[in-house]
Amino acid sequence: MKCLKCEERAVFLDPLLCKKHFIDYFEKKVFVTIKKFDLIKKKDEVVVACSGGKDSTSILYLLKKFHGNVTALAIDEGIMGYRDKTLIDLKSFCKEEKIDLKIYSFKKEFGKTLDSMLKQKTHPCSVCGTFRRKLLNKCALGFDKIATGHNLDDESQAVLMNLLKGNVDLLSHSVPITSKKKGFVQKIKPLYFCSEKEVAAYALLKKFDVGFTECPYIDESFRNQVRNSLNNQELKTPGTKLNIVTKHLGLLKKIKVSDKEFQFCDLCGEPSQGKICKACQLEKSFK
Amino acid sequence: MNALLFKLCDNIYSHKNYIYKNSLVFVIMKIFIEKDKQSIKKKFNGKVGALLSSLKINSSTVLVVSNGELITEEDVVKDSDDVKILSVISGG
Repeated sequence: MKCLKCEERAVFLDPLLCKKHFIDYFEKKVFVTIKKFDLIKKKDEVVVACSGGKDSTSILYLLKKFHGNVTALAIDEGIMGYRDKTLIDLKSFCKEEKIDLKIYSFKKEFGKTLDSMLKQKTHPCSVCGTFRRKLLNKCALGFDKIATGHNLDDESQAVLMNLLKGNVDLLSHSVPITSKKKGFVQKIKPLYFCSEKEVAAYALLKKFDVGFTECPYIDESFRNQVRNSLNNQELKTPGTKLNIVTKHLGLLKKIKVSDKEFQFCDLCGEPSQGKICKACQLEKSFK
Repeated sequence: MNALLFKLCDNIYSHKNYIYKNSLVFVIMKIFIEKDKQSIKKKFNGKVGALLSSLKINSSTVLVVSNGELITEEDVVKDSDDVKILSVISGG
Protein backbone atom coordinates (compact mmCIF):
# COMPACT_ATOMS: atom_id res chain seq x y z
CA MET A 1 0.00 0.00 0.00
CA LYS A 2 1.14 3.54 -0.75
CA CYS A 3 1.57 6.47 1.61
CA LEU A 4 -1.36 8.89 1.81
CA LYS A 5 1.00 11.80 1.15
CA CYS A 6 3.36 10.45 -1.51
CA GLU A 7 4.11 7.51 -3.80
CA GLU A 8 6.36 5.69 -1.31
CA ARG A 9 5.49 2.35 0.30
CA ALA A 10 3.58 2.75 3.58
CA VAL A 11 5.29 1.43 6.73
CA PHE A 12 2.40 2.18 9.09
CA LEU A 13 -1.30 1.47 8.65
CA ASP A 14 -3.09 3.97 10.90
CA PRO A 15 -2.23 6.58 9.69
CA LEU A 16 -1.16 5.15 6.33
CA LEU A 17 2.27 6.74 5.92
CA CYS A 18 5.72 6.03 4.51
CA LYS A 19 8.87 6.18 6.66
CA LYS A 20 9.56 9.89 6.10
CA HIS A 21 5.97 11.04 6.58
CA PHE A 22 5.46 8.79 9.62
CA ILE A 23 8.51 10.31 11.34
CA ASP A 24 7.24 13.83 10.51
CA TYR A 25 3.73 12.94 11.77
CA PHE A 26 5.05 11.48 15.03
CA GLU A 27 7.41 14.34 15.84
CA LYS A 28 4.72 16.91 15.06
CA LYS A 29 2.27 15.10 17.34
CA VAL A 30 4.74 15.24 20.24
CA PHE A 31 5.66 18.90 19.65
CA VAL A 32 1.97 19.87 19.40
CA THR A 33 1.33 18.18 22.78
CA ILE A 34 4.27 20.07 24.31
CA LYS A 35 2.98 23.41 23.01
CA LYS A 36 -0.76 22.85 23.56
CA PHE A 37 -0.34 21.83 27.21
CA ASP A 38 2.59 24.20 27.82
CA LEU A 39 4.73 21.30 29.07
CA ILE A 40 8.05 23.12 28.94
CA LYS A 41 8.99 26.75 29.39
CA LYS A 42 12.05 28.16 27.68
CA LYS A 43 14.26 28.34 30.76
CA ASP A 44 13.12 25.04 32.32
CA GLU A 45 15.76 22.58 33.52
CA VAL A 46 14.41 19.24 32.28
CA VAL A 47 15.37 15.76 33.44
CA VAL A 48 14.11 12.71 31.53
CA ALA A 49 13.28 9.52 33.44
CA CYS A 50 14.92 6.85 31.29
CA SER A 51 14.90 3.09 31.16
CA GLY A 52 16.75 2.56 27.89
CA GLY A 53 13.52 1.33 26.28
CA LYS A 54 11.77 2.73 23.20
CA ASP A 55 9.55 5.27 25.01
CA SER A 56 12.11 7.05 27.16
CA THR A 57 14.82 6.92 24.47
CA SER A 58 12.43 8.51 21.95
CA ILE A 59 11.43 11.24 24.38
CA LEU A 60 15.05 11.87 25.35
CA TYR A 61 15.94 12.32 21.68
CA LEU A 62 12.92 14.53 20.94
CA LEU A 63 13.33 16.76 24.00
CA LYS A 64 16.97 17.30 23.14
CA LYS A 65 15.84 18.27 19.65
CA PHE A 66 12.99 20.47 20.90
CA HIS A 67 14.42 21.95 24.10
CA GLY A 68 18.18 21.54 23.84
CA ASN A 69 19.75 20.83 27.19
CA VAL A 70 18.31 17.76 28.94
CA THR A 71 19.64 15.31 31.55
CA ALA A 72 18.87 11.59 31.61
CA LEU A 73 17.99 9.92 34.91
CA ALA A 74 17.82 6.14 35.19
CA ILE A 75 16.78 3.85 38.02
CA ASP A 76 18.36 0.41 38.16
CA GLU A 77 15.81 -1.68 40.05
CA GLY A 78 17.97 -4.78 39.81
CA ILE A 79 15.94 -6.96 37.43
CA MET A 80 18.46 -9.47 36.12
CA GLY A 81 18.33 -10.09 32.38
CA TYR A 82 16.12 -7.04 31.76
CA ARG A 83 17.25 -3.75 33.29
CA ASP A 84 20.96 -4.58 32.98
CA LYS A 85 20.42 -4.97 29.23
CA THR A 86 18.32 -1.82 28.71
CA LEU A 87 20.86 0.24 30.68
CA ILE A 88 23.63 -0.84 28.30
CA ASP A 89 21.54 0.57 25.41
CA LEU A 90 20.85 3.77 27.36
CA LYS A 91 24.51 4.37 28.21
CA SER A 92 25.52 3.97 24.60
CA PHE A 93 22.67 6.27 23.40
CA CYS A 94 23.59 9.02 25.89
CA LYS A 95 27.25 8.77 24.96
CA GLU A 96 26.43 9.11 21.27
CA GLU A 97 23.99 12.02 21.81
CA LYS A 98 26.26 13.68 24.41
CA ILE A 99 23.57 13.64 27.10
CA ASP A 100 24.47 13.69 30.80
CA LEU A 101 23.28 10.43 32.42
CA LYS A 102 22.72 9.80 36.16
CA ILE A 103 22.00 6.26 37.36
CA TYR A 104 20.63 5.42 40.82
CA SER A 105 20.01 1.88 42.03
CA PHE A 106 17.59 0.17 44.43
CA LYS A 107 20.58 -1.77 45.77
CA LYS A 108 22.47 1.38 46.78
CA GLU A 109 19.47 3.45 47.91
CA PHE A 110 17.35 0.75 49.59
CA GLY A 111 19.93 -2.00 50.25
CA LYS A 112 18.37 -4.64 47.99
CA THR A 113 17.65 -5.32 44.34
CA LEU A 114 14.02 -5.79 43.25
CA ASP A 115 14.78 -9.44 42.48
CA SER A 116 15.88 -10.09 46.06
CA MET A 117 13.02 -8.01 47.54
CA LEU A 118 10.55 -10.24 45.71
CA LYS A 119 11.85 -13.33 47.46
CA GLN A 120 10.09 -11.92 50.53
CA LYS A 121 7.08 -10.19 48.96
CA THR A 122 4.71 -10.61 46.05
CA HIS A 123 3.14 -7.83 43.92
CA PRO A 124 6.32 -6.83 42.03
CA CYS A 125 4.77 -3.79 40.31
CA SER A 126 3.54 -2.33 43.59
CA VAL A 127 6.96 -2.75 45.30
CA CYS A 128 8.86 -1.51 42.24
CA GLY A 129 6.49 1.43 41.62
CA THR A 130 6.68 2.65 45.22
CA PHE A 131 10.48 2.70 45.26
CA ARG A 132 10.81 4.04 41.71
CA ARG A 133 8.46 6.97 42.33
CA LYS A 134 10.29 7.93 45.51
CA LEU A 135 13.73 7.68 43.94
CA LEU A 136 12.78 9.53 40.75
CA ASN A 137 11.25 12.42 42.68
CA LYS A 138 14.17 12.58 45.12
CA CYS A 139 16.84 12.50 42.40
CA ALA A 140 14.98 14.99 40.19
CA LEU A 141 14.79 17.67 42.89
CA GLY A 142 16.43 20.84 41.62
CA PHE A 143 15.01 20.37 38.11
CA ASP A 144 11.88 22.22 36.96
CA LYS A 145 10.29 19.30 35.13
CA ILE A 146 10.69 15.55 34.98
CA ALA A 147 9.67 14.07 31.62
CA THR A 148 8.49 10.48 31.48
CA GLY A 149 7.86 8.19 28.52
CA HIS A 150 4.21 7.46 29.45
CA ASN A 151 2.30 6.90 26.22
CA LEU A 152 -1.36 6.64 25.21
CA ASP A 153 -1.50 2.96 26.19
CA ASP A 154 -0.04 3.63 29.66
CA GLU A 155 -2.40 6.52 30.31
CA SER A 156 -5.59 4.85 29.08
CA GLN A 157 -4.68 1.82 31.22
CA ALA A 158 -4.07 4.06 34.25
CA VAL A 159 -7.45 5.78 33.85
CA LEU A 160 -9.26 2.45 33.57
CA MET A 161 -7.32 0.87 36.46
CA ASN A 162 -8.10 3.77 38.77
CA LEU A 163 -11.78 3.63 37.85
CA LEU A 164 -11.91 -0.14 38.37
CA LYS A 165 -10.21 0.19 41.75
CA GLY A 166 -12.24 3.24 42.75
CA ASN A 167 -9.10 5.38 43.15
CA VAL A 168 -10.83 8.58 42.09
CA ASP A 169 -8.15 10.79 43.70
CA LEU A 170 -5.51 9.29 41.41
CA LEU A 171 -7.41 10.21 38.21
CA SER A 172 -5.88 13.68 38.31
CA HIS A 173 -2.42 12.09 37.86
CA SER A 174 -3.27 10.81 34.35
CA VAL A 175 -2.69 14.14 32.63
CA PRO A 176 -0.01 15.49 30.23
CA ILE A 177 1.34 17.74 33.03
CA THR A 178 0.82 17.33 36.77
CA SER A 179 0.01 20.29 38.98
CA LYS A 180 2.63 22.06 41.11
CA LYS A 181 2.87 20.64 44.61
CA LYS A 182 5.35 21.30 47.38
CA GLY A 183 7.98 18.55 47.53
CA PHE A 184 7.21 17.22 44.03
CA VAL A 185 8.93 17.91 40.72
CA GLN A 186 6.28 18.56 38.06
CA LYS A 187 5.85 15.57 35.72
CA ILE A 188 5.36 16.00 31.99
CA LYS A 189 4.30 13.32 29.48
CA PRO A 190 5.00 14.46 25.89
CA LEU A 191 4.02 11.01 24.48
CA TYR A 192 0.56 11.24 26.10
CA PHE A 193 -1.30 10.98 22.76
CA CYS A 194 1.09 8.55 21.01
CA SER A 195 0.21 4.87 21.04
CA GLU A 196 2.76 2.29 22.16
CA LYS A 197 2.85 0.93 18.61
CA GLU A 198 3.55 4.39 17.16
CA VAL A 199 6.40 4.94 19.62
CA ALA A 200 7.88 1.52 18.81
CA ALA A 201 7.64 2.24 15.07
CA TYR A 202 9.33 5.63 15.54
CA ALA A 203 12.18 4.10 17.57
CA LEU A 204 12.63 1.36 14.98
CA LEU A 205 12.56 3.74 11.99
CA LYS A 206 15.02 6.10 13.71
CA LYS A 207 17.23 3.04 14.31
CA PHE A 208 17.56 3.72 18.05
CA ASP A 209 19.51 0.92 19.67
CA VAL A 210 16.72 -0.22 21.97
CA GLY A 211 15.47 -3.68 22.83
CA PHE A 212 11.82 -4.65 22.36
CA THR A 213 11.84 -6.43 25.69
CA GLU A 214 9.03 -7.01 28.16
CA CYS A 215 9.65 -6.71 31.89
CA PRO A 216 9.81 -10.31 33.27
CA TYR A 217 7.29 -9.42 35.99
CA ILE A 218 4.71 -8.10 33.49
CA ASP A 219 2.39 -11.12 33.65
CA GLU A 220 1.82 -10.75 37.37
CA SER A 221 0.37 -7.24 37.26
CA PHE A 222 -3.23 -6.00 37.34
CA ARG A 223 -2.11 -3.58 34.65
CA ASN A 224 -1.46 -6.50 32.33
CA GLN A 225 -5.06 -7.70 32.63
CA VAL A 226 -6.30 -4.18 31.84
CA ARG A 227 -3.75 -3.89 29.00
CA ASN A 228 -4.98 -7.11 27.37
CA SER A 229 -8.64 -6.06 27.63
CA LEU A 230 -7.88 -2.64 26.15
CA ASN A 231 -5.81 -4.09 23.30
CA ASN A 232 -8.64 -6.49 22.42
CA GLN A 233 -11.12 -3.63 22.51
CA GLU A 234 -8.82 -1.44 20.38
CA LEU A 235 -8.71 -4.20 17.76
CA LYS A 236 -12.53 -4.33 17.63
CA THR A 237 -13.04 -0.57 17.94
CA PRO A 238 -9.98 1.41 16.81
CA GLY A 239 -9.66 4.69 18.71
CA THR A 240 -10.79 3.25 22.06
CA LYS A 241 -7.62 4.29 23.93
CA LEU A 242 -7.64 7.82 22.52
CA ASN A 243 -11.34 8.13 23.41
CA ILE A 244 -10.65 7.12 27.00
CA VAL A 245 -7.96 9.76 27.58
CA THR A 246 -9.72 12.59 25.72
CA LYS A 247 -13.02 11.98 27.53
CA HIS A 248 -11.05 11.65 30.79
CA LEU A 249 -9.37 15.04 30.25
CA GLY A 250 -12.75 16.58 29.40
CA LEU A 251 -14.29 15.06 32.52
CA LEU A 252 -11.49 16.34 34.78
CA LYS A 253 -12.37 19.90 33.76
CA LYS A 254 -15.98 19.36 34.83
CA ILE A 255 -15.56 17.48 38.10
CA LYS A 256 -13.62 18.53 41.15
CA VAL A 257 -11.02 15.95 42.12
CA SER A 258 -9.63 16.87 45.50
CA ASP A 259 -5.87 17.05 45.53
CA LYS A 260 -4.72 15.16 48.58
CA GLU A 261 -2.74 17.18 51.09
CA PHE A 262 0.69 15.69 51.62
CA GLN A 263 2.81 15.76 54.72
CA PHE A 264 6.48 14.86 54.86
CA CYS A 265 7.82 11.48 55.98
CA ASP A 266 9.34 11.51 59.49
CA LEU A 267 12.12 9.18 58.34
CA CYS A 268 13.20 10.37 54.88
CA GLY A 269 11.58 13.80 54.52
CA GLU A 270 9.93 12.92 51.21
CA PRO A 271 6.23 13.74 50.55
CA SER A 272 3.98 11.19 52.22
CA GLN A 273 0.30 10.51 52.86
CA GLY A 274 1.03 9.45 56.45
CA LYS A 275 3.71 10.03 59.09
CA ILE A 276 5.90 7.39 57.44
CA CYS A 277 5.91 7.11 53.64
CA LYS A 278 5.09 3.83 51.86
CA ALA A 279 8.66 3.38 50.65
CA CYS A 280 10.08 3.66 54.18
CA GLN A 281 7.44 1.25 55.48
CA LEU A 282 8.35 -1.24 52.74
CA GLU A 283 12.07 -0.76 53.33
CA LYS A 284 11.58 -1.48 57.02
CA SER A 285 9.66 -4.67 56.26
CA PHE A 286 12.60 -6.02 54.26
CA LYS A 287 15.01 -5.73 57.17
CA MET B 1 17.51 -42.18 9.85
CA ASN B 2 14.58 -39.91 10.80
CA ALA B 3 16.63 -38.36 13.59
CA LEU B 4 19.47 -37.68 11.15
CA LEU B 5 17.07 -36.11 8.64
CA PHE B 6 15.52 -33.95 11.37
CA LYS B 7 18.98 -32.79 12.52
CA LEU B 8 19.86 -31.87 8.93
CA CYS B 9 16.62 -29.89 8.50
CA ASP B 10 17.15 -28.22 11.84
CA ASN B 11 20.64 -27.11 10.79
CA ILE B 12 19.26 -25.67 7.56
CA TYR B 13 16.71 -23.67 9.54
CA SER B 14 18.99 -22.63 12.37
CA HIS B 15 21.50 -20.76 10.22
CA LYS B 16 18.93 -17.99 9.89
CA ASN B 17 17.37 -18.33 13.30
CA TYR B 18 18.53 -15.82 15.89
CA ILE B 19 17.17 -13.78 18.77
CA TYR B 20 16.48 -10.12 18.01
CA LYS B 21 16.74 -8.25 21.30
CA ASN B 22 14.68 -10.83 23.19
CA SER B 23 11.65 -10.33 20.95
CA LEU B 24 9.65 -12.74 18.92
CA VAL B 25 11.74 -13.89 15.99
CA PHE B 26 10.21 -15.65 13.00
CA VAL B 27 12.55 -17.01 10.37
CA ILE B 28 11.10 -18.63 7.27
CA MET B 29 8.87 -21.33 8.71
CA LYS B 30 10.64 -21.70 12.00
CA ILE B 31 9.22 -19.43 14.67
CA PHE B 32 11.09 -18.82 17.88
CA ILE B 33 9.12 -17.26 20.71
CA GLU B 34 11.74 -16.12 23.19
CA LYS B 35 9.26 -15.17 25.89
CA ASP B 36 7.93 -18.75 26.03
CA LYS B 37 11.26 -20.29 24.99
CA GLN B 38 9.42 -22.03 22.17
CA SER B 39 10.13 -22.74 18.54
CA ILE B 40 7.24 -23.07 16.12
CA LYS B 41 7.35 -24.15 12.49
CA LYS B 42 4.61 -22.79 10.28
CA LYS B 43 3.88 -22.72 6.56
CA PHE B 44 2.40 -19.41 5.46
CA ASN B 45 1.88 -17.24 2.39
CA GLY B 46 -0.45 -14.27 2.71
CA LYS B 47 -1.16 -10.96 4.42
CA VAL B 48 0.61 -10.09 7.66
CA GLY B 49 -2.76 -9.45 9.35
CA ALA B 50 -3.80 -13.03 8.55
CA LEU B 51 -0.46 -14.39 9.81
CA LEU B 52 -0.94 -12.57 13.12
CA SER B 53 -4.54 -13.79 13.42
CA SER B 54 -3.46 -17.36 12.75
CA LEU B 55 -0.90 -17.03 15.55
CA LYS B 56 -3.51 -15.38 17.82
CA ILE B 57 -1.34 -12.25 18.12
CA ASN B 58 -3.11 -8.89 18.52
CA SER B 59 -1.79 -6.63 15.74
CA SER B 60 -1.86 -3.54 17.99
CA THR B 61 0.78 -5.15 20.22
CA VAL B 62 3.43 -5.91 17.60
CA LEU B 63 5.50 -4.53 14.75
CA VAL B 64 6.35 -6.78 11.81
CA VAL B 65 9.68 -6.52 10.04
CA SER B 66 10.29 -8.39 6.77
CA ASN B 67 13.78 -8.59 5.30
CA GLY B 68 14.82 -5.70 7.56
CA GLU B 69 11.94 -3.37 6.54
CA LEU B 70 8.96 -2.36 8.67
CA ILE B 71 5.77 -3.62 6.98
CA THR B 72 2.04 -3.23 7.64
CA GLU B 73 -0.72 -5.77 8.30
CA GLU B 74 -1.83 -5.29 4.68
CA ASP B 75 1.52 -6.37 3.21
CA VAL B 76 2.06 -9.92 1.99
CA VAL B 77 4.76 -12.26 3.33
CA LYS B 78 5.88 -15.48 1.74
CA ASP B 79 7.94 -18.50 2.75
CA SER B 80 11.25 -17.10 1.55
CA ASP B 81 10.94 -13.85 3.56
CA ASP B 82 12.89 -13.28 6.73
CA VAL B 83 10.07 -12.16 9.04
CA LYS B 84 10.39 -10.93 12.62
CA ILE B 85 7.55 -10.04 14.93
CA LEU B 86 8.52 -7.57 17.65
CA SER B 87 6.45 -6.99 20.76
CA VAL B 88 5.83 -3.26 21.36
CA ILE B 89 4.90 -3.82 25.02
CA SER B 90 7.71 -3.08 27.43
CA GLY B 91 6.94 -1.97 30.95
CA GLY B 92 5.12 -3.72 33.79
